[in-house]
Amino acid sequence: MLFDTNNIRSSISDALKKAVKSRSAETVDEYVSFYRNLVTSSIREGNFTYYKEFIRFPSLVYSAIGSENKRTGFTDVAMNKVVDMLGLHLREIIFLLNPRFNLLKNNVGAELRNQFYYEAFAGFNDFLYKLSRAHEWQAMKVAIGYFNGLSTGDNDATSLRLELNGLERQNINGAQNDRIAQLKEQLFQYDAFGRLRRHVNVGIKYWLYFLYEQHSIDEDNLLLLIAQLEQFRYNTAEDVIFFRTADLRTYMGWDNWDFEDHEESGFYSPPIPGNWMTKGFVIDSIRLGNLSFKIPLEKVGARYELKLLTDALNEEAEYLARNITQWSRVLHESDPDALLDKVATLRASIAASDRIVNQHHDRDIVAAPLSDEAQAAFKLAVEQSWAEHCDIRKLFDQFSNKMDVSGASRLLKRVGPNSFFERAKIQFIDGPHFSTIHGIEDLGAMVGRWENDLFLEVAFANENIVIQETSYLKAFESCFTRMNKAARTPTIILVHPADFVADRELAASKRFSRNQGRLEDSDNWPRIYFGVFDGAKIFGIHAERLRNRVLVTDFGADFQMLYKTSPEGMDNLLSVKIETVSDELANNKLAQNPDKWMTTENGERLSREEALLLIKTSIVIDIETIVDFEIKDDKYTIGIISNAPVL
Amino acid sequence: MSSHSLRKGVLHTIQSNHPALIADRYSWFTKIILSLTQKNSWWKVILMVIAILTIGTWFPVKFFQVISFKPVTPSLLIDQRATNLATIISMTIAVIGFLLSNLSIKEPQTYKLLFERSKLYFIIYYSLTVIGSLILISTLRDTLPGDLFPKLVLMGTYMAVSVLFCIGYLFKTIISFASASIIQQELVRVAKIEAKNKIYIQLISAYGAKQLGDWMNDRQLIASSPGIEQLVGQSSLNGLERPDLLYDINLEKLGQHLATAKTGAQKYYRTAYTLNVLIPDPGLFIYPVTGTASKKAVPLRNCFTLKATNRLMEEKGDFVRYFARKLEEYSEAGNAKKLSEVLDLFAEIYDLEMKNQPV
Repeated sequence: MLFDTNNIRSSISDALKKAVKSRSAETVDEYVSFYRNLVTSSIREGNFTYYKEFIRFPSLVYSAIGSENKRTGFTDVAMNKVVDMLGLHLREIIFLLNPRFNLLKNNVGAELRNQFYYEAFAGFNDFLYKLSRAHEWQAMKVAIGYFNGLSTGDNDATSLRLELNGLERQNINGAQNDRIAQLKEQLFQYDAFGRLRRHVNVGIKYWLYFLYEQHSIDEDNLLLLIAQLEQFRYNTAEDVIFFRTADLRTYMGWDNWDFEDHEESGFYSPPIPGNWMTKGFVIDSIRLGNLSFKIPLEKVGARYELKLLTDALNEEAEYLARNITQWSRVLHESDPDALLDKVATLRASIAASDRIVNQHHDRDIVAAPLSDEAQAAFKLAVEQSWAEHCDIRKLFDQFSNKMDVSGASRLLKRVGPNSFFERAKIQFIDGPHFSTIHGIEDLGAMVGRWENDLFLEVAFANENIVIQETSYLKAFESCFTRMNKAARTPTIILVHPADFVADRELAASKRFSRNQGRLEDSDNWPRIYFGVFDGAKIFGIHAERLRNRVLVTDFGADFQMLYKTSPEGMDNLLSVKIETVSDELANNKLAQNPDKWMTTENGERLSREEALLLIKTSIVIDIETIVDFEIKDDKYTIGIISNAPVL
Repeated sequence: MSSHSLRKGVLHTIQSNHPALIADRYSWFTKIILSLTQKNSWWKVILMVIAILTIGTWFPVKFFQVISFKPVTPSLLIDQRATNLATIISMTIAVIGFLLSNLSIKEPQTYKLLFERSKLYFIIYYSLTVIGSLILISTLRDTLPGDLFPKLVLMGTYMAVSVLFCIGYLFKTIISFASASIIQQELVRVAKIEAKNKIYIQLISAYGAKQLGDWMNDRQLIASSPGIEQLVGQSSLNGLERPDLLYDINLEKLGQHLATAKTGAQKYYRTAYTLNVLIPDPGLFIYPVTGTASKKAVPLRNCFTLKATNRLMEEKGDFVRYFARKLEEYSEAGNAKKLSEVLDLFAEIYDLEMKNQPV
C-alpha cells in the first residue's frame, strides 16, 4: 500500500496529534472528514482491505484527543464536540452499508457485506471501550445514543424464515437436510447485522458491570449508561454461551480489554472476557428479571457447556449475595435471600435446557451407527496394550512350547472381560459427538495380566514341589539343587518385582550376575528383567501369587500353552468385539439399579424412557483370548521366602 | 498471451487494465525534452547545438536561405551578435538570481520544481553553447573555406534569436512562481504524477510476479523447498554477487532453455521473482532435480535483463513526502484551510491506489 510505503499513514497520524496539541478543533475536524472520506470511498469501491485500514478512525482520533487531555489535565468544549461527532460518523457509515442505499458495490455477496458490517461494529465497540477506559462517561452516553439510533436489523428475511419453519416441520428422514442447512446459512448471514449490534450492546453493558465491580465507574454513571443501553433488551442466553466458548481473540477485540494501566515490566493478564461476560449475564438476568433461559439446541455446543455455566452462575450468585450493598441498586434487590431465590429460578431453567440438550445429544448418539474407523483404532490400541502386558505368553513364544488346538474339541479357558462402559458409545461413532475416553484401551493390559494369573494358578496348584528358605539366594540354590538332581537345568526364574531385591547376599554370589544393560530383543521378553542366576533369566511378574515366592523352572520342558484362534483380532489370538446396548440389556440394567439411572447429577428424576436412552449411550466391549496352560513335567520348583522383611 | 518479453506483457496488461494511470505518463518526446533539461546533461546540449549547426550548414533548408549577405557583412554581423547575446545573458542571469531569491515558497522542492518547469539548466547551457559557437565562428572567419563562413554566421544568428525565445519562456515561468497558489497547484500536480508513477511501478512488480508465476505453472515448475535447497548444495547458495535490479526476462529464451535442459527431471525454481526487484544471481534461478541428486543449474543468465542499481536508486523527487511534512506544519499552526488542501491530495492518492489494484 502506497500509504504505508511512503509512510503517509503514519505522517497523517503524527500530524493529527500535532493538530490535537494545537487545540484547534477545526483542524482536527479536517482529519475526521478526511478519514471519513477514505472510508466512504473504500465502501464505494467495495474494497474491504482498504476499508479495514481506516474504519477504526474514531478510536484513533479519540486516542489522540484523550491522551492529550490526560497529559494536560484539561478538556475543552470544542474538542468534546469533535469526540461527540465520532459516534455519529460511525453510525452513518453503518447506514451506508445498508443494501437499500446501494452504495457498497451491488454485486458483493451477503458474506462480504457482513465483513464490512463486522469491522464497523468492531470499530464502534473499540471506540466505546476507549471512552470507558478514559472514564469519559458523558461522551459515552452520547455515543451510545448514536448507537441506539441504528436499526435493529437490515433484513428480516421473513419468507426464508417461513420456509425454514415449514421444512423443519415436515422434514422426514432428513430429506430436506440440504435445503435446511442452506437456509440456515442464509439466515445466519441475514442475521449478522442484528447479531453484531446485539453483541456490541451486550458486551459493553457487561463490561460496565465489570468496571463497577472494579470500582472504575461510580454507581450513578453506571445506572445512567445502563439505562441508555437497556433501550434495547435482548435474550442473551445464546450470546453468553457464545462469549464463553467462541475464540474471542479475533472477535471484537474483547480479549484485549483492560481497566487499569500496568507497569511495563510487570507480569499481568488482562481480564478474561468469558468470565466478566458471564458475570454480566448473571447480573443482567437478575436486574431485568430475565430468569428463563431459552436457547436453540444447536447453539449450545459442547455437552457440558450448560453445567459449566451453572457452576459459574453459582459462583457469581455467591459473590453478589456477599456484596449485596454494592449491587442492590443495580440488581433492584437488597435482600440476599431473595436474590438467591432468583438465581435458583435461573438455575432451574438452565438445568431444564440442559436436560433437553442432553436428551437430544443422547438420541443422536444412540441413533448413530458404530464407526468402522473408530472401532479399528480402538482395537489397535487394545491389542498394543495387550501385546505389551502378556509377559507369560512371551515366554511361551520364546520357548515355542505352545500348541494350536483350534480344530480340536478340547475346551480351553476364555480369558478376558465382557465390560459394560457407561456413556462410552461416543468413542465409537462419527460426527460432532465423537469424543475419546481415556483409559478404555487398558482393557488389553488387563487381559494380559489375567493370562499371567491363569498361568501361575496352574503352576502353583501343585504343592508337592514347594521348599522353604529364608532368602532369595538360598531359595535359588535349593531350587537349583533339587532341579539338578532331577537332571534338569532351570532356564527361567519368576519373582514378584515388589519383593525381589538383589540383596548383598545375592549380589555377592558368583552365580548371580546383574544385567546392567537390557536383554537383546527385549520386546519379546517379559518387561521386568533382573539378571541371570546360573544361566537362568530372572523376570518380575506383577501377580499376587508370586508374593514372597520364586518359581524356578526349565520353562520349555515343564509347561505347555494351548490356545485357539478366533477369526478376528490380533494374529487371531485376541478377539475384540464392540456392541451397542440392546433393548433387553438396557431393560436389565435399569431393573438392576433404577435409582442410579433415573437420577441426574443435579438430583432430578428422569423418566423411564430418558433413563433407557441414557443407558443406550453406553457400549459393551468383549475382549478375550482362548487359552489354557498345562504342566508337562512337574520338575519345576517353587520357593517360599519365609522371613522376608515385612515392609 | 505469449510474448518474448515479460515486461512487455506486463506493460500491456497495465495499459488495458489501468488506463487512468497511463494517461499521465510521458510520451517519448517529453522524455527526450526531460532528459535534456537535467542538471548534468550539458553535454547533450552541446552535442545538440553542434548538430544543428552542422545540419543547418551542410544541408541548408531553402526557407532559411532567403537572407543573403554581401561578402563583408558576416564578419560584422558575427561580432555584434556575440556581443548582444553576451549582454542579454548576463542581464538575464542577474535578474533570474534576484527572482529566485524572492520566490514565495522557499523550499528545496519548490526550487527543484521551478528548475524543471522553467527548463533553467537547458536554457543556460543552450545560451552559453550558442555564445561559445558564435565566438568560435568569429574566430575562424579567416580559416574557414569561402562559402562555409557565411552559412555558419546565418545559422548562428538564427540560434541567437532562438535564445531570446528561451529567455522569454524562462522569465514567464519564473515570474508565475512568484504566486504561492500557483506553486501549490504545481506541487499538487507533480505529487499526483509522482504517486501515479509509484503505483505504476508497484503494478509492474505485482503483475510481473503473477505472469511469471502463471508461466512457470504452465511449465510444471515447482517452488523449491528447504530439502531441495540442500540437494542443490551450499556452494551455489553462497554465490551471491552484488544484487542487480531485474528489469526484464526473455520468456522465449527461457522456454527454449527449459525445453533442452534435462528432460524428465522435475525442475524447481528458487525464488518467485518479479520485475523491479533486486536479485542476487539469475543464473541460480531454476534447477532440474531427478530422484535424490540435483543436476547442474540451467544456465539462464542470458535470459535476464538487469540494470545496475546505483543508477536506478537515484531519488526521483519526493513531493508526496514534502506534503506529508507540510501536513504537520499546518496542523501545528492550526491552518485548517491549507490542511484540507493537503488532505484532499492524499485522499485523491488513496483513491487512485485503491482503484488501481492488480486484477
